[in-house]
Amino acid sequence: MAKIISVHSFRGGTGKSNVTANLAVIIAKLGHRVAIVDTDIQSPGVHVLFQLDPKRARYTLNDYLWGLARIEQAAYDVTETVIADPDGSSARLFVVPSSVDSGAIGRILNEGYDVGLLNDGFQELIRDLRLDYLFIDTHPGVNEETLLSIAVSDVLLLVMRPDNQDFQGTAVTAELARRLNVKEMLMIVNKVPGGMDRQALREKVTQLYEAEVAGVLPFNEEIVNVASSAIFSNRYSEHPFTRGLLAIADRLKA
Amino acid sequence: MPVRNLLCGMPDFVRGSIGAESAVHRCQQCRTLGGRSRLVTFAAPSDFQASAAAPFGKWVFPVTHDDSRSAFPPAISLRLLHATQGHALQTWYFEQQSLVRIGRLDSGDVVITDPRVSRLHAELRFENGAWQLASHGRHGVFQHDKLLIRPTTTLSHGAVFQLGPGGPQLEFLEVDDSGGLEAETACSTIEFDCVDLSALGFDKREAAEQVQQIAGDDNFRQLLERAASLRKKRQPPLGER
Ligand SMILES: Nc1ncnc2c1ncn2[C@@H]1O[C@H](COP(=O)(O)OP(=O)(O)OP(=O)(O)O)[C@@H](O)[C@H]1O
Ligand SMILES: [Mg+2]
Repeated sequence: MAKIISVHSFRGGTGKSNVTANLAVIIAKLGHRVAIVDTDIQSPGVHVLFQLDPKRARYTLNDYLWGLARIEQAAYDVTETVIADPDGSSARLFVVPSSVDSGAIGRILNEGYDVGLLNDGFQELIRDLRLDYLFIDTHPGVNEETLLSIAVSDVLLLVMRPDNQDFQGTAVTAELARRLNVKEMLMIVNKVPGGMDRQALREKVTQLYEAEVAGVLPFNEEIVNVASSAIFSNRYSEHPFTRGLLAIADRLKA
Repeated sequence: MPVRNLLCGMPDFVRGSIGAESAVHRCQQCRTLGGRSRLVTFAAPSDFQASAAAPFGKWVFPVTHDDSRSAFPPAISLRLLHATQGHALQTWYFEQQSLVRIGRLDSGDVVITDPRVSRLHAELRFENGAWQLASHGRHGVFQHDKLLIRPTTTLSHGAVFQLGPGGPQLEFLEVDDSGGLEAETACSTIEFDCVDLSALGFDKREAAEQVQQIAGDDNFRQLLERAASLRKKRQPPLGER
């Protein structure tokens, strides 16, 4: 059965898009069919990591939500961009970007969108692209659309940084996710500074949220080297950030 | 457990790039004390940490005692002793190095400018688990005023040998780099600002109130129903395709 994995955080800038993109690539490379949907319509971002230019894309998620296209028409195959030698492998990676056009963003913000339709879109993608994994990159914060995306997921990855504002907000989000009966919730602590004991932090988060911690990822200085235009784990395969992501990917496959 | 650097008393670190086989061994502290930077080979310990505070965007991690013990000879130091008063005029410190060359040549590891010292006067080699001294100089090496005649002599901690008759005396010391270091962690070094985790947390009451505000009304109840109906639309298991 295809797994729907939503990646969310209470506050912005926790690293959702980077985590999503890297996990998707890591899992696809193992020979799976994977797609990412950027549901962060207000501030889309994940397309950048795949060097996709939504301005040049014929259709985006917005077009699907307005009934102008089928969702597969907004799904771009980025396998060749991020996976070397995909030939002969069953690996496939698709990205459904959101529009970066301010008019298109404004329209969605004003009119909202039909979460039922979005959910139908997920199911169509799973069926028509024969997906094994569907990643949903979300907008930060608590809003109805995002809560519903979380609710239809098999796994919620809740990303947080080790600071008190994130700790507080994540406590609320985690509790709401539980009330929404999310099947599985895994915590990821990202941008952990070098002086912090990662094992102790893992134990602390496990205990505070009574949830499984799938990864504690170090603050990554090399990430600026790849800017936002490449998949970090491809370039730095032995980096602790990458190794942390590999462990999370392993856990997701379980 | 970090290795203590004798020159400065600080635990030692290797700074390098991930995946690199060697890195410049450079302790900031002892560099300022005149210590030499050397190239060493290392294998990254499995639990090394990235340091946000480390300059140059590189990685800094402690060389663990066990790692260096298994892969490299134990650290030693050589002290050039004052001829009459016996105190150290100069100290050389070697770790992770199995050959130490002593002589007048600039390219040696221990350089002593003295007419009684040959260009390459003696060599210290770590072999079969012990440090061996071999004499190469014309003037020979003396211990307790006796000329060493065997090709090599095993040195033990505190051994003193003399380069040439009446020449400079060196004291050989095996460095016990484990003493008193058990309690130290990477956090206690100059490279890291240890972050106190106890300050991290959240206010449980405040969180509960916020949850109640969001989840307590009719909207949320509708949201739950909506979620339940959306879930029913899930695609059949892929295993069936
Ligand atoms: N472990 C890390 N160490 C250092 N920088 C990181 C790390 N993870 C992500 N970043 C950086 O943090 C910034 C935000 O990352 P990203 O866009 O993935 O976050 P996000 O949660 O998707 O943000 P938004 O809420 O705006 O969508 C980026 O510049 C990214 O390169
Ligand atoms: Mg994002």
